[in-house]
Amino acid sequence: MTKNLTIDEVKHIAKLLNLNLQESEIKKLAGELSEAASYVEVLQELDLDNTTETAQVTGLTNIFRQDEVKSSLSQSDALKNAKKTFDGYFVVPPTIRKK
Amino acid sequence: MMNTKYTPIIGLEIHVELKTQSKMFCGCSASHFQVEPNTHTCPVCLGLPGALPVANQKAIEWCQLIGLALNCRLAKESKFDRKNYFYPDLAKSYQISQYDQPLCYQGEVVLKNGHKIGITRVHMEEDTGKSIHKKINGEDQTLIDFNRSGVPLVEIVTEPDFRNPEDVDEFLKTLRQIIRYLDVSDADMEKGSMRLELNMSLTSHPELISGSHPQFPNYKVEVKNINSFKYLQKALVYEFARQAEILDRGETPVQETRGYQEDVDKTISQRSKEDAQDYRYFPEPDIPPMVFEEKDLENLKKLLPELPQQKREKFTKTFGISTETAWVLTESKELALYFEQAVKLGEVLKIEAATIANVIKNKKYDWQKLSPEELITKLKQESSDKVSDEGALGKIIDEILKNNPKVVEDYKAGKVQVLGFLVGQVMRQTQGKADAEISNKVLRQKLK
Ligand SMILES: [Zn+2]
Repeated sequence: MTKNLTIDEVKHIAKLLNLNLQESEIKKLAGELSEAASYVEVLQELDLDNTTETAQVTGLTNIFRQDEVKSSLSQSDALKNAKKTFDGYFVVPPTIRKK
Repeated sequence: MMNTKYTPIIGLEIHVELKTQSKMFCGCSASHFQVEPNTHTCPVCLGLPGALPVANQKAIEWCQLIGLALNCRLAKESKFDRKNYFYPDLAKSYQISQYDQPLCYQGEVVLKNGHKIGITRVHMEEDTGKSIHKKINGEDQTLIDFNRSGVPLVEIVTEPDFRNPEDVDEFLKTLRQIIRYLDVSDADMEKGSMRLELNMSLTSHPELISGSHPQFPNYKVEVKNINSFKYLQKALVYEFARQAEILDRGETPVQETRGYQEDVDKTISQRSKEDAQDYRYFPEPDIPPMVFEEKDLENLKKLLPELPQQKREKFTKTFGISTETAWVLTESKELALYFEQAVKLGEVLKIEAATIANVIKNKKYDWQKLSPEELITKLKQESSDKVSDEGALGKIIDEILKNNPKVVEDYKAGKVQVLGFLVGQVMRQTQGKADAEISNKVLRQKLK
């Protein structure tokens, strides 16, 4: 049951992914994403009647650490890959415009 | 505050930052208040590729203790989930939180007036970094400090069980007190280690929301950005009036998130339903699930310290102190422990718990400036200074009665209020050292 994604669905997904898409890209992606989704549909063919649902595959439980402080990165190392910094901070485009 | 036409239906969401040494999923120091920016970070809390988060056991234990203190059930199976959204202070573009298997659920807090507030859930998550908005060279910029990123955060969600602002206030103060007794967080609104959000709707049919199949209004407004208990009260008053006005017009308030703005004392729309967040929660694949055995949970209960309510019960039952005084004495854990220590010391010197309770309550002595030993020494001094010997007082009283025949006559004629004057005279003669109660008794006997 292949389902084609609508333009609105693609727009919604793009918004969730913080992508700014052109109308032409949206149309193209609607097709491509639908194709990718239908590819994953092959999984539907598996017989899972006797398989227990799980959210993890390692079989591990209760992996904890003690509340101990370990050394952190230096400020300069932390900021090393940032495009823009100021006074020890990362700088990003404004999320609030001040009057 | 509120008119009687509508009943408010209020629920709360409270975030509490735990005061563990290290962060939730990495070994960076969790302290971030007045710390040089971006000095407590590592690949895990900066969200760098390939980093592996490992949960802090103490934080989990503390979250469970908060749950126990709020009378919650503790989950035998629990896990972490990813909550996805974009924001510059969220390094990984997802927050590790808990979705369908919170550590604690179904709790309850009973208020002084008997109202029960249901606790929906108490779960564990991580804090985000901190954004600072600033103009640099005339340009608006947002600065990010990731020292707070990954600090353990406990979220407490209540049922929409509040019907008036007073209950909300009492609940929050009780919650803060419990958390401070547990010693797991400063729960300080000013420092941001306790944060509040509320949701509210109004109904003109309160009968519909009680009972086993409550029918709630078809909308709910969330209010964020509330920075003190006082502002929460103001936000409630403002929202009530705003929603009542819309309902009066025959319309329904928009389901949305609003922010409280203290400078104008208003709530302002932030996002409406059309913009509703789609967090796409899914199980955190990097952290194996948690499984707790019955005995683990039993051991946890043993870690619970005496909570305010238990202390109050002990104070009233064991020490015969009034409920009102017990509330005063349990205001903070420090005071309660101080009182208990003073009572213990007082026992040896035959100073009654009630006496100690009263001098603390009446602020005769500042408990924060005296050690329990010093307080007891002072009280002992006072009691030994006291002239409480009936014979000695009797002699002084005889003298006074002899010198005040007119007053004695007045008393015998039925003006009993002159007794106060006579006690005053006894006090004067003894420089205030007479035991007032015994003086009173002796005076009455002699005036018969
Ligand atoms: Zn870290």
